[in-house]
Order: sequence, then C-alpha cells, then structure tokens
Amino acid sequence: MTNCENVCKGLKRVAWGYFFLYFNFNLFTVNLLPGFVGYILFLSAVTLMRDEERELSLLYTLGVIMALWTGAEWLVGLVGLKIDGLWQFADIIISITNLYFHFQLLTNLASIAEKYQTDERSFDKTLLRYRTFQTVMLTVVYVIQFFSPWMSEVWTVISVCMAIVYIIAGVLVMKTLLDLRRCLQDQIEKE
Amino acid sequence: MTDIWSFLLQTLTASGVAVLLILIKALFKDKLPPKWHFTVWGVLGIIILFPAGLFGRYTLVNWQVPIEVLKGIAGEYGFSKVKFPVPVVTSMPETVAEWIFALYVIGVVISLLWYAVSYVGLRMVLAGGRPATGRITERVSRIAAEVKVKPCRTVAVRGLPGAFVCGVFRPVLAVPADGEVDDKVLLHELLHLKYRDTLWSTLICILRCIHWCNPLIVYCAGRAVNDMESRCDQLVLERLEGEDRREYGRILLSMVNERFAKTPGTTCLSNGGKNIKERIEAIARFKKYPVGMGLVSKCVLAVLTLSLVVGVQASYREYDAEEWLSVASARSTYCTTPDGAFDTYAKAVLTQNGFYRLMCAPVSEQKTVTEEVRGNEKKGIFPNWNSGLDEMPYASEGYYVYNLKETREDVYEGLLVLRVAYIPDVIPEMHTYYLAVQNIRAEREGDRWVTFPLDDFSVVETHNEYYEWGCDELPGVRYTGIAGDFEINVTLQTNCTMESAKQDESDIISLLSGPVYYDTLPRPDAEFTKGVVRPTCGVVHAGNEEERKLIETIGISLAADYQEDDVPAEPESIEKTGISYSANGSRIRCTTKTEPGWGPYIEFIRGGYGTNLPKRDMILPERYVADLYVNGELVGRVDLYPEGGDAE
Repeated sequence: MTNCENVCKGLKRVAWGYFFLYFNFNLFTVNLLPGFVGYILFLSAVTLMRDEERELSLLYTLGVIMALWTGAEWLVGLVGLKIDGLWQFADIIISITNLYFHFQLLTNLASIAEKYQTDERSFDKTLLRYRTFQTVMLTVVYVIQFFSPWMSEVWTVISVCMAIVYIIAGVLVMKTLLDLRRCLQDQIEKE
Repeated sequence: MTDIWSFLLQTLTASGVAVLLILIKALFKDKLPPKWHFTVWGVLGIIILFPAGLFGRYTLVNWQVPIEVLKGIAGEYGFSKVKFPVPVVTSMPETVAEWIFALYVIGVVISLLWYAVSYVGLRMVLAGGRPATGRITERVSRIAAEVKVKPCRTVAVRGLPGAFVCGVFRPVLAVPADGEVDDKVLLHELLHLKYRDTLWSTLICILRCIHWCNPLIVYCAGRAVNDMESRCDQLVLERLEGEDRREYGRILLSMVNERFAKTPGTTCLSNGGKNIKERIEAIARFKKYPVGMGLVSKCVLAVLTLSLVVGVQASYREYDAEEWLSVASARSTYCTTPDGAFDTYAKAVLTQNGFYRLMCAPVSEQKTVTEEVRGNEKKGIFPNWNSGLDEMPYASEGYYVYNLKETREDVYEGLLVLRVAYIPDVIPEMHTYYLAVQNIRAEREGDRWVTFPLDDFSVVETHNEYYEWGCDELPGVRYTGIAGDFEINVTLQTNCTMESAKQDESDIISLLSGPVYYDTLPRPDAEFTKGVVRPTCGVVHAGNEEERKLIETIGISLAADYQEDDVPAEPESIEKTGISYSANGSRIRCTTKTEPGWGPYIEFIRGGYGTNLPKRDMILPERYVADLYVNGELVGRVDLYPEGGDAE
C-alpha cells in the first residue's frame, strides 16, 4: 500500500473517530457511540500515517490513555455510574491530555494536507483554523464549569449553546477530513 | 501558618500538586516546549502561596482528614487555618506540637540565612571584579540589541568558571576575567536578563526555604531552576544552526559550576553537574515547535491552574467501623454558610448522628461531642449522639427553620421544627401531629459557621397536616403601626429548608421510576432553596360604629423592606377590590369591601406563598411599609415594626 493510500485510510478513520467522539446516542444508560471506539480509530490512523508525519507517534501514549479512560467511563456507565469527577487527579490529567491530543492530531493532519492538497483548496489552513477553534472551545468548556455556581440562571442556555457549537465544530472537522480524503483519492485515480 | 497542623496542610497540599506536575511533565516531556515546562512550576508556586483549605475546599487530596487523625492522637480539638503561606510564631511553645513547629521555624530562618550569606558572599566576589571594557562590552551590547533587552552592568571577575547574571533590582552580568566567553553563553545569560530569571530564582529559593523539610518541594525547586535554564537553552538553540548547536552542548559540559549553583538571585549557565545530564538530553531532543503551540500551552496552563486553585469542596464521608476516621472526616468538613450550619444541625438531630454535629459544633463543644461519639461507637450504641430530643423524629419528613432572622452581623436565629413520631406517655390522636421545636442560632466562628441550641426541645401539637405552609400553633412575628384611626397589624411567619429529595440511582429501573427519598446527608456549603412566607394582615378601627358605617372599602399596600428599592418612594394607586402580589411576594396590595356591622377588627390578607424563593425573602424583614386607603382615599403611610416576636 502506498503512503497516499495509507493517508486516505487514516483520514477516514480519524473522521469516523470524531463521529464517535462528538455524538452520543443513549439507549437508557448505554452509549451506542462510545468514545473509546473513537480513540481506537485515532490510534489505528496514527499507526497508518506515522511514516508520513513523524510527530504523530507522539500521540500514541496519549491516545492509549484516552482510550482506556473513555472505555472505563463507558463500562461504568452501563450500570448508571460515573467516574467523571470522582478523582480530581485523573480529571485534570484527562482534560489536558484530551486538549493536547486533538491539538496535535489536527496540527499533524494539517501538515499532511499541506503535502498532498491541490492548489485549488487549502485544507491545511482550514484544519489549523478548526484546531485553534477546538482548542479554545475545549478550554472554555472546561473552565466555564468553575463559574457555574454563579451562572445557575443561565446555565441551561449556556450548556445548550455550547453543545450546539461543539457539534457544529465536530461536523465541520469531519467534513474537512472527508473532503481531503476525496481529494487524495482523486489524485490516486488520476495517477 | 501559625501551627504545625496548618504547615502540614499547606506542605501536603503542595506535595500533591508537585506529584501531579511531575507526572504531567513526564507525560508531555517531548510534546510541550521547555518554556511551558518552566512556566508550569508557577502553578506549584501559586498553590504554595495560596492558603490551603480556603472556603472548605481542598486540592487533589483532602489532607485535612489525616491531619485531623493526627490531631485526635495528639488530643487537640481546636481548628487551625492557613492564613498566610509563611510561618508566624504567635506564642511561646508549650506542647509537643508547638515545639515541633518552633523547630520548623528555626529551620526556615537558618535556610534563609544560609542563602543570604551565600548571596552576600557572591556579591563580595563581584565587588572585587572590574567593569568589563572593550570587546566584551561591545559584544554584550550587540547581542542585547538582537534579543531586544537593555544590557546591564558587566563585570569581569578572576576565577569565575562561567558567566552569570546576579541581582534582582540592579542586575550585574559577571564574566570570567581570565578566559574567553562565547557569544552563545552571553546570549543565554542575556535571555535570563530579558525574562527576569533572577527574580524567579529568588522566589524559588524563598519557597524552598519555607518548605525546607519537604524533600519533594526541595526537589521541585531544583527542577524548576533546571527548567529555567532549559528554556533559555531552547531559545539559544532556536537561533543556532547545525554545528553551532553541538558546540553549545559542549560549552555547557565544560562549564559545570557547583560553586554558585544554588545562590539565590543568580542564573548560572551550568547550574550544577547533576542537572547537566537532563539539559543535554533536552538539547538532544531539540526541535522547533509548530505555530500555535503557545496557544495550547496557555490553554493547558489555564486548565491546570483553575482546577488546582478552585479545588474540590470537602464533603463528609462516613467510614463503617472506623469511628476515628469518621470523626476526622466530620471535623475536616465544616459549614461554610449559615444555611449549611442550620441544615447540618437539623440533620444531626433528625438522624441523631454525632458526626454531623461535629461538622457544625463550636470549638468549645468539639471535645465533648467527639468523646461522646467515640465512646458510644465503641460500646456499639446507636444513635451515637444525644441531641436532647427524647422523641423519635421522622427523618423522611425533613425539617423547617421558622422565622429566620439576622440578629446581628454574621448571626442568624430561627426556630427548628421537625415532626416526631410519638410522645412518651401520650396516646396519639387521629389527625394530630406532633412537632418538636427548638430555637437555634448559627454564627460565624473563624471560617466555620457553627450552631448553638438556645433552649431545650419542646413539643407542639397541631391538626394541620400541611404545617410546612405555616402553622397557627407556631409563633410568628407581629409588625404594628398606627395610621389615623386605624392600627395596622401584620403577623408574619416564614420558613425555609433545603431541597433534599433524591432519586434512588441503584439500578436502571430505579433511575427511571424509582422512589424519591429524603437525603439526610448534610449540605454544609449550600443555601436554603425552599421556603414559605405567610403574612396575615388586618386593621383595628379605633372610631365608633357611626364612623364605621361611612367606610365602604379599606385598602392596604404592603411592602416588606428588605432593601432600598423594595419600598415605592410614593404611595401608588390601589385596585378597587381584590388582592395582588408582586412576583416575589414582598409587595401585597389588597382592597376589601366592608360588611354591614363590621369591626372593630377586619382581616383581609391571610395565606402563604413560596416554595422556591430567593434567600433574602425567607428572612424576616426589618419593617413593613403600609399605605392605608379608606374608600379609595389615602389615609397615610406608616412604618410597621416588630412587636417582639410573639404569636398572634
């Protein structure tokens, strides 16, 4: 398999990974789109594309941590429990791991896009823009929780707004990745 | 920190954060830039300078619990608090704990003196040097211009192993007089000058002295200084290419300086031989970080700082068969609001739980309650605390605090009301309910809110099943005033409680439709969320029957004076008939038609409103302002003041 084909496959997995991460469909207490599946897809994409972008290997440990944590979250969620908020120690590590993981992943994907994109579309710039937006958004989502006691009256509105923005951002990232994949596939077919 | 316990709390809290930072730094060793790795120590600095346990919160681990266990062993029942992050001796030591604290303070003083002496020694060495001239000053000026920093005074000193910057307010760049200094070294030192690293080095040194007996903090201080050097290494390497980078590593190795490695207010390029290895490794890992790395670095720092500074609210945890741990947990979870103190006391009475009482008991009662709880637990007696209530309360019905008022600043009083199951020697009657009542006070004791019972429990009998909506058998507060021939009376009864309904979450079925039960776990940091305000208003006419015949309607506009804008500046027009309440119920307007032969008393407002009221509306107001209307004409405005809190 050529590098370009690997990149196509990797991009598809990352896009689906974000689908599992950004969307939640719950049947009672069972989340049908568990986050750990998303991280497993990210990890397999990292394995496929690391020859193309050396820095992607840095994400392996962090990806495993996130997959284990979201997996544990999903498992205890089956019995109606939560591990989120139980240990501040773990919460902090997970929050910053999550923040960095997506920042680095999208940065590296932008770098790959720069190599393969055609002159017509600048996927790299779009990805970098979404990366910056996502980093700021994840920070705001985390930080704003500390101010929730003083915003009890508008908290529901804020939560709904943040959820909408979060989903829109996810859809845009997925769309860009799939567009980039299509662009690469076209190039492979032409060759 | 005025005792060993507050020092322990502060240093253990800092240790928890230090462990977290070491872990995170290891995880992000090759991912985030050296600048971040140095800046992140600032989070530890903030935690060391931020009083631990503030507002009943903790960071990462609730260290107060093991400290309370130690205090229990030492037989201490007082509460200590970190007011300042530095040690302060307030009295001559007497107990063992006080002597240990005194030894610790002596250690701080000795370490500070040791560093001060080493700094003075270094300044004396520099004083023996000569101002640098010629080529070296030209090079310093050129490099300073490149990195956009104002150059400082440069002195050449014989016998120095390398260059360094010394001093916070008037820094000096010291260079060896008997050797050549490489441009890369000068660049490194001028970058220290640019980022005011001598100031950070002094601060790190002071914090190291305060926590001299904590090896973890001492280790982190060393790491912080090393990371400060690595940050400058990175900045130098970013300006170099190829062979120059390798050359820089070789210079570093050749300049191991143990002599001034730990002197405060200085920056030595080679800060001790042990640290060189890590820096060489960092140089080997050197890479240019992508654009945007600053953003993620700042975001990670913001998340870390906020999480650690805000911390977690301490909550009580009961340990089965380990009463000493439960006592420690209760003593370390204190009430941070007056409502929390009322709630904790009420739930202690409802469940006869001495651990809950410890959470809200004043210092003067801590020893007695602790001994009672521990004694009863050892004997297997339950309930483990005697609240003075002889009857068994209905825990599932909760409690109400009637007629809550602020008697003076930080002191609240109210009547605790809870339903009891039976009265000894009394045969219960159908539709008769027994309420146990006790006057209680919540007041601030340092950071804690504590409760005092003001009298013994007494039992009130009522036939009113819905006593939470006000109860005629319970007292109210009567406000009175005179307007013309009329005496206006308002009798007000308020009550408040905390929403404590909880869904059974034990399984999926319970979650969907399971029972809701009354949660008897205290909420020491919460505020009252539920309440009822029940005013009764009437007027007494002092005139004769002939005069009363001429009165067809009487109207009143009442405004509870909670704060300035509650009372309209001028009397407003009033409806011809009927009653209206403002949104929060603090204003009531009512007009009633008189019946033939009425008087001399006529009542026209009776009933409660509420459930989810803001806290201020559940407290008795200082006064009411009433505008009285007769036959639609304003008689006058009058202030109504409490008559002494008697029941109507």
